[in-house]
Amino acid sequence: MGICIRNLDCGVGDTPILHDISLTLNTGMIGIIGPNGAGKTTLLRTISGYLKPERGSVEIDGTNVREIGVKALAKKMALVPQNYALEYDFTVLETVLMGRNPHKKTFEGDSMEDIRLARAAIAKTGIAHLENRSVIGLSGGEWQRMIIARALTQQSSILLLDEPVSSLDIKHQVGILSLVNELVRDSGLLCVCVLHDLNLASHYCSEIVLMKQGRIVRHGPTRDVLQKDILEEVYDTKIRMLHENDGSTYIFPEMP
Amino acid sequence: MKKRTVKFGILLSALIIGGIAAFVCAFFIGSSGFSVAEFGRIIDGSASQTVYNIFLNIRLPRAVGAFLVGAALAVSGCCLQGVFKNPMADSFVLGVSSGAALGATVAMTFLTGMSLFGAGTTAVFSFAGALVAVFIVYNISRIRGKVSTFSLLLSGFSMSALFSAIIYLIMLLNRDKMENVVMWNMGSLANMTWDKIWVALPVILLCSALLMFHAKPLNIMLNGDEVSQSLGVDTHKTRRNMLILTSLLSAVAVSISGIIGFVGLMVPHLLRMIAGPDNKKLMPLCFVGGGMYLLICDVIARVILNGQEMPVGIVTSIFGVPFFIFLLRRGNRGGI
Repeated sequence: MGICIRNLDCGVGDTPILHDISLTLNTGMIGIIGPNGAGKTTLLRTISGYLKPERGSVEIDGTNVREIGVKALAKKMALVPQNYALEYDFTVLETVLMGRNPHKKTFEGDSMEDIRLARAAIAKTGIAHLENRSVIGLSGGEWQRMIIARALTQQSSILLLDEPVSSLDIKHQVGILSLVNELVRDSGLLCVCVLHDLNLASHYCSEIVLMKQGRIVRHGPTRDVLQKDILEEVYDTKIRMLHENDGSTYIFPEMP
Repeated sequence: MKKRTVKFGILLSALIIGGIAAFVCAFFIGSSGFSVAEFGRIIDGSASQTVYNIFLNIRLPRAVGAFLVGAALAVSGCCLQGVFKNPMADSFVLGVSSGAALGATVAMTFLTGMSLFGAGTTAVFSFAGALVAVFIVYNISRIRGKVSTFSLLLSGFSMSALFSAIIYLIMLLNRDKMENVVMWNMGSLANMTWDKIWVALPVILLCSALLMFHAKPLNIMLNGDEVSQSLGVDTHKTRRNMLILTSLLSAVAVSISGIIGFVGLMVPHLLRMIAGPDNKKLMPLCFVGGGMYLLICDVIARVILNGQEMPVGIVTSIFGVPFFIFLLRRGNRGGI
């Protein structure tokens, strides 16, 4: 299961955003990074089939995502969107059960097996105690775990995450990404994750796609892409890198 | 926050019992009082023709009509609030009421005494007016093949304003017909006949059932289009289907009753506050609850002004609004 993007141009409304993107993503946790306005979210939305490319294509296993039915696509690919609010007070279990929709016939109800799968995903994300709680009033971390549980319930082999930790505190940032990393490792998922934090990207991603102004600047193993000179050029700012003895790298902007 | 909702089964049973009670009241309460004994005589066939007529050709169709119209308005309101994710949405924001009113105004002003397809021109023209209005509103709001909630609501409001202006112009130029038009706009079930019910019944039952089958995708669509599509819901197709079904449902209701406001807005909100936001439960509850509410309002409309009928649209608002505000102030449950 892999994603193949060929010569992709895409825009929102009349504004062109992505220019001639070609990319092959096969397995592991792939981070998409880049400065604001680089087109990271637009790329993810095009991969998910939500945005229609003006030119080129996004293929999963050789089939164009725009030609796969909505339900069939949702079986292959789950999305954890940027923070959004659900203003209706469904319970956590009801919300997670929505992830079973791609596997159901149009008017089919939830079976015991669906509930079992949803409960297993809820347990895996560590929010079993919240199962019957209303989604209104969940904290940011609890909410994000619930959305990841819903994505897991979809049982798809590709997971798209759009800035999944940008509104969370450092504890929850590490908690959520460690959880996703574990799932990717254990289940052999392909995870494409838009991130702003270069340290998190450095720690968790096996590959990095670095973007600027709608184009891919670099794509490769994390260690090769996260280089001082490359980042300074792309982010147009001075950067300091710290290399620890355990092999980990920390990246900071030079303070004026 | 722990989720607390009244159990669906208990609430549905309570509404069904309430609906039956309201039906019995509608049967026995009216300007001519009737006893249970007279009802017995209808059953055994010994009642006079007058009693027979009042029970079976006036009160029974009126009660059935009230239930059906209330059910149709509440179910379509419930669906549209979900489709638009907007608390102010009911079938009237799509231009259904103003289109129906314009159709009815044309019929009552220029085509009095005529009949079309065996039905009164007012009913036929209001039905056609409602559907034409929705068609225009839908096409105005379709930009690059997509219909956004925002453009649909705005074009609905603007077309309603245009239709209302045309209605006022027609009324101004034909002042002798003004009272009929005003009365129709306030809604009434007084002229309900079996003929009207036989036309409306299959449409209302079929559309309501089909809408209930869309409850699950509608629940998912509360997450917004992008997330819904990633969960396997074809949002454009679902939205289009639901708009067609709700338009038909409310157009047929309005064509047999005139414009009865507030049922489509209040009943779904009220039940959502009690039962939570799950449309799989909410739609059947709205069907029974909306029917029961309009039945009760119609009984009140018949008896509150001694000897004179009040348009039921006035009653639905006068009694509904304070209760609604009370519930709203007590704390909103279920979201909007």
